[in-house]
Amino acid sequence: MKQKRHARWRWLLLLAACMVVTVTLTACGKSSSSQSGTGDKVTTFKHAEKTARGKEVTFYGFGGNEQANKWVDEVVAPAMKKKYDIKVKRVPMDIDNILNKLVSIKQSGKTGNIDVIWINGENFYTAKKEGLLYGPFANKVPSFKNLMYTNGHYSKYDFATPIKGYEVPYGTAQLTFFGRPGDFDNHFPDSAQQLLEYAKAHPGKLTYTAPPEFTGSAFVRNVICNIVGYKRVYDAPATKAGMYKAIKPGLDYLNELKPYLWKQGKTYPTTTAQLDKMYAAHQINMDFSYSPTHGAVERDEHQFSADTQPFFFKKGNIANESYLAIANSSANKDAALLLINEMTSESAQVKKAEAKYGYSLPPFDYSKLTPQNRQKLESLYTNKGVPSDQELRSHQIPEVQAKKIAIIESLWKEHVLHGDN
Amino acid sequence: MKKKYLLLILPFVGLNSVVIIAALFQSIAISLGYYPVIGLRHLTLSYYFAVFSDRYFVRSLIYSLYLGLVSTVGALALGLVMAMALERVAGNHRWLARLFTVPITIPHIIVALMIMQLLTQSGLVSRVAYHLHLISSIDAFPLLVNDHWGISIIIVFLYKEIPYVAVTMLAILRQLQSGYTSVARNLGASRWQAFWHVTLPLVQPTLFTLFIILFCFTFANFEVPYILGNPGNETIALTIYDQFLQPDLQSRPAAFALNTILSVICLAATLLALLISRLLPGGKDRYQE
Repeated sequence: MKQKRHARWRWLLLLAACMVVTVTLTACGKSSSSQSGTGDKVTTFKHAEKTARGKEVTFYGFGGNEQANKWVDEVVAPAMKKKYDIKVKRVPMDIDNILNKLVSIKQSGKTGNIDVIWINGENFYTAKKEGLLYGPFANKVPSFKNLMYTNGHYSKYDFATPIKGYEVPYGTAQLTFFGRPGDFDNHFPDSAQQLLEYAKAHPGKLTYTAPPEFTGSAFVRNVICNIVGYKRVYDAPATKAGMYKAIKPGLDYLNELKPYLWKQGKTYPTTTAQLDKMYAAHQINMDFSYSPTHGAVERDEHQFSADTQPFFFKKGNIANESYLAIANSSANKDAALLLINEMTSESAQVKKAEAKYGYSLPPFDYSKLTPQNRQKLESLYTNKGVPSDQELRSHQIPEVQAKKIAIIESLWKEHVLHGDN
Repeated sequence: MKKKYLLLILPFVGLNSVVIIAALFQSIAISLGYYPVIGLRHLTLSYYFAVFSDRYFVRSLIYSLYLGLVSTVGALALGLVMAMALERVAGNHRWLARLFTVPITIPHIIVALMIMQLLTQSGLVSRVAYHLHLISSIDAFPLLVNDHWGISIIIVFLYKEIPYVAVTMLAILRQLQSGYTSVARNLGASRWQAFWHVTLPLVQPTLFTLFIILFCFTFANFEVPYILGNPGNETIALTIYDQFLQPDLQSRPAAFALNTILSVICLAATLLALLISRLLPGGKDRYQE
């Protein structure tokens, strides 16, 4: 009996010792967290070409798109190896996790292994605010200076956050509606009002994914901007009360639409995969995606019938670019700069636009491209159900400020989702 | 001898103290408003008040409890029945019991995706029924995914947890059968009496342990309601996920406050289950050899 008690004491002591060690370790890890960044800098592109030779550089980004992954592995990585003897390591990770990781790196005060990040919008806003990104560097990237709209809206603002050279455009995204002309009497609705009339005439044949799902959230913003005007959303104060006042007609519209949605709007699909499936099965007549080439990809895979066509609202659909940025904690900023230049080069982006790499749309000013490449890009899209560059650019409205997105989502939840109780 | 055993459990104790102190302590600190990385340094309970005053909190709490309790109690009852049935026949059909271990090895998220492929209106079952002219169009198929009552969510949980309960209980029932239960039957107890007065008190502590494991899991589960849930009925785990992923880091403390509340509820449920188990017949022997 006595021995037993003795053993228990020792056990407790051991436990306490373990805890003390852990606390000390945690505390040590935190003490040096005040400094941010590594002090590593890039001077010029020319200089970077020399200093980065032989290094390894990481690319952190969303890894769920097989074709985009293949493009990095088959086009970008070999080119980097050949030109600069740089090894590209692709790390598939959701942007939210990348941000969490960058915060932890900043907390630890060390250099991290995250170099280039695929980022945009709300995450850029946060990352820049918390000092997680390096810049300005855009003007040191030749592809940006030579091929893109250097003074265009999307080179200056990302979801209304000033970019100030902390990002380089990487690809074009625009909320695009898809439908079969036969279901719409060959006339796609070109405003939210016409969409409502269509819904009333065809109850149950429309729905959208419930925010905070990314695409559904964009759809809701698009409709609201169409009803109340982009400027009103842009100018409204970023508070719940201010936004409610500004977008109320848009919320009223969504409530008017609700009883004519699939299942009378009592439920919504939660993933775009479901929305695609419902559209493919003719359960609903309209699909949408933030990728203008989505319809072409699904047509190629015989998920959607070959008559699926893209359409937009006349006043425009929400568009944004996705971007490449450099982590402040990166110790390979020179190599990161070279990688970003390569990923946005004419040769790599024209490849990315091919069917095999997912029909991605380049962020270029087409007038700055060589005639061959311009023609190649344009011919890729004919008869594939992909909108032309001109059609896209003439139907664009910018994203609203990043911090307003969460407010709109919570107002939708309160007034539309739970609006009737 | 004792020293040797202590060394053996040392890695576990070490790992646990890292988890408990580093992770839990930090998440409680953040929930109280101490998050220096984004410049929050003042301790406050306001994030907890904000959670409790949120009009959707009680709603999602009730919905999470509903999903957790229905799935857990259902899995325990059906799993026990399944184990007793298996115990009767498995002597002759050994593969039957093995078949039951298959669902245990499949991850929840895979089962959720399988159910989505099967049971949505544009899913396999609906399309087969349509081709057999059982329903006039696929819209006539009952809404089982994204529905109000979370039927598909409960189906996933039952599919996963019933075999888990059955396999665990089968091992115990097999030991009992040759002992106390046979004695009771020999002494003239009816089948029901033997079950009620002998078997149940003997297996009840295990059932309650299973209840704790399954309830804490299903109550706080994220991926199944994320894939199959109705957007109007958010579970607590989904709310946390949504808040945690808000790009604005200022919403993190609220997410961690909710996280702490979720953990406290699981802890309370555990203690309550242990207490009830102890008070019931058979409970006093719980910790004795």
